[in-house]
Amino acid sequence: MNIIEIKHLSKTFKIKEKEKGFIGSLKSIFKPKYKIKKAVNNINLTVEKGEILAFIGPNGAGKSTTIKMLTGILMPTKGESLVAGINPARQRKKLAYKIGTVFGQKEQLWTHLTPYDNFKFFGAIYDLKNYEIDKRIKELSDTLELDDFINTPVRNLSLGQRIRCEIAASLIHNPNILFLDEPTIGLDPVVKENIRVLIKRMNKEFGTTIFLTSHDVGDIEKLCKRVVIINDGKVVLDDSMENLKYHYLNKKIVEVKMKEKVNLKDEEGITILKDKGYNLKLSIDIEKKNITDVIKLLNPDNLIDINISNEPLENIISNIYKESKK
Amino acid sequence: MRKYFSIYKATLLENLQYTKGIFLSFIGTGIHIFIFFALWKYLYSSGDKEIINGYTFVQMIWYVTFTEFLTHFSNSIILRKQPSTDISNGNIAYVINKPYSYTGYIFSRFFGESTIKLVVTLLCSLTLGIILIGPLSTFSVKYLPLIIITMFFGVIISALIRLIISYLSFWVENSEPFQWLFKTVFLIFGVTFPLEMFPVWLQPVIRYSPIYAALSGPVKMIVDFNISEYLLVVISQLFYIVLLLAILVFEYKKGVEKLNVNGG
Repeated sequence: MNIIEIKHLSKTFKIKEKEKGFIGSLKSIFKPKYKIKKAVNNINLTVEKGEILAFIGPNGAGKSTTIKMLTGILMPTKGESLVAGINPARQRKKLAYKIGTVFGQKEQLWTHLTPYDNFKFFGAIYDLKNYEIDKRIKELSDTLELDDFINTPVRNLSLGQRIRCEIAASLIHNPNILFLDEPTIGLDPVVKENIRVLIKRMNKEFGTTIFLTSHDVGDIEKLCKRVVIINDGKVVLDDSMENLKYHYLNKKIVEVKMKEKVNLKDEEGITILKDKGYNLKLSIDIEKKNITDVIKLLNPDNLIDINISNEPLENIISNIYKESKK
Repeated sequence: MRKYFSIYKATLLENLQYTKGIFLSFIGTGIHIFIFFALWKYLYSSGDKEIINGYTFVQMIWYVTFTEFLTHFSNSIILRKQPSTDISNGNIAYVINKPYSYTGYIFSRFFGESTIKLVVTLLCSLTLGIILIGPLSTFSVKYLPLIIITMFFGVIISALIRLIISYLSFWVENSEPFQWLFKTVFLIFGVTFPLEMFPVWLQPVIRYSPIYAALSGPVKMIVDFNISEYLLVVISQLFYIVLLLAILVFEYKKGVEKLNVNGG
């Protein structure tokens, strides 16, 4: 069952352009110039209930604009969307009860209040009864492990603790869908990992559909089963994580340590990434060159150590971005 | 209403931390009142008049004290700056996707901010007025409930105008110059001089303007209560509240349609 349906969604912005320097600023007062930017260009997409979807793309690709249209903040220029059966452009307030949002770079919590008071506040905003709010706070506190700092004013929390509270505040009304816009930005690796575990647990325990945007490949790889890549406002890839890896993993990274130096040069299917005499790092296109052939070329008797790994997902994604630009 | 009360309560808690700041901000108001006191004292003593355009010296000083008191509310940071800050830093994304009206949210915050201000400013204004000039003999406590109503409507009118100006941030990068213009016009035509001090040809214009409904009208009821004048003031206040609300709702609807959330 689809919980999000997007049909031909487009958003165009009129952006003021200013020439350089003081004269340019004066000119722009009397003769302003504008350029039209198509931030989102005819997007079609569906998301199933309970799915964790990665919606990724380079900066300025149109990810946040799409999320803002899906949450009713921005009005589309063309097309329409249905989120939990509601049109966000027409019924923003009704939709608010069904969705939660976390924008990693923005704050929704009241910093002078404790997380507990914030949750009580947000519960009241969503018309929950007091006993319902208390029950929900208990659930979220257990799932997101907030007990240690639930009574500390938000302004005194660490970034990781604050993000956990931001997520909890977004879930207080038990939304069907959670929009996460770069939830792990600025967090250290340990906290990032904790947040990922919690997002997964939340999806499993509450059945919340997760619509995630992130530049962090770890978030995508560890959380999502499906990836949608957007660039220049258009969807350039919509595939399962498994397929993405399978189709795009035609490159292997081979790192070798040798007894004697080998004079190896770039050739079809082999790219030398690093050559430090006895240590080599190669990128092998397995459609063009067999790994066995590469090992033969290096002479197996000459090998002390070998490590064969997949191309990092980060490289795959960045190649897709580049290809979509062409 | 419970959600708006929660917003009010949270803002009240927030502002309790800034009570000292409100006391300090009254110093500026105190200086204003003192300047007007010195100015009017000179004018009353130099002309050897006890009444100027229907006002005694005592009434005049209490008039200025209470117009300053009302201005203190409309000078709210929440009304003046919150919408433009929310729009410019993109935080509006978080506040408009909640199940409440954004205008209701701003007004609840304004009332939360004003509650502390009311206590502090009223206390300071009364103390200063009594020290400078003594009690107002023309004031009658029996009219107090009626006066509170018209003062409240006056605050609402100023707040609506402030918010209408703030919502201009949907179109212009900085609405502050318009706020400054509002403040200056209100200062000249409402705070400093009562209606009767202006040239006869200008008086009807001011009399039917929102300045009179927001400031001069309600304060005049404190210094010289008159039931027929009171009714006229309240009717014009209700008219302006309805008109300004309609403008505000229309403006917000149009503004949100063209909203371009900064930062993505």
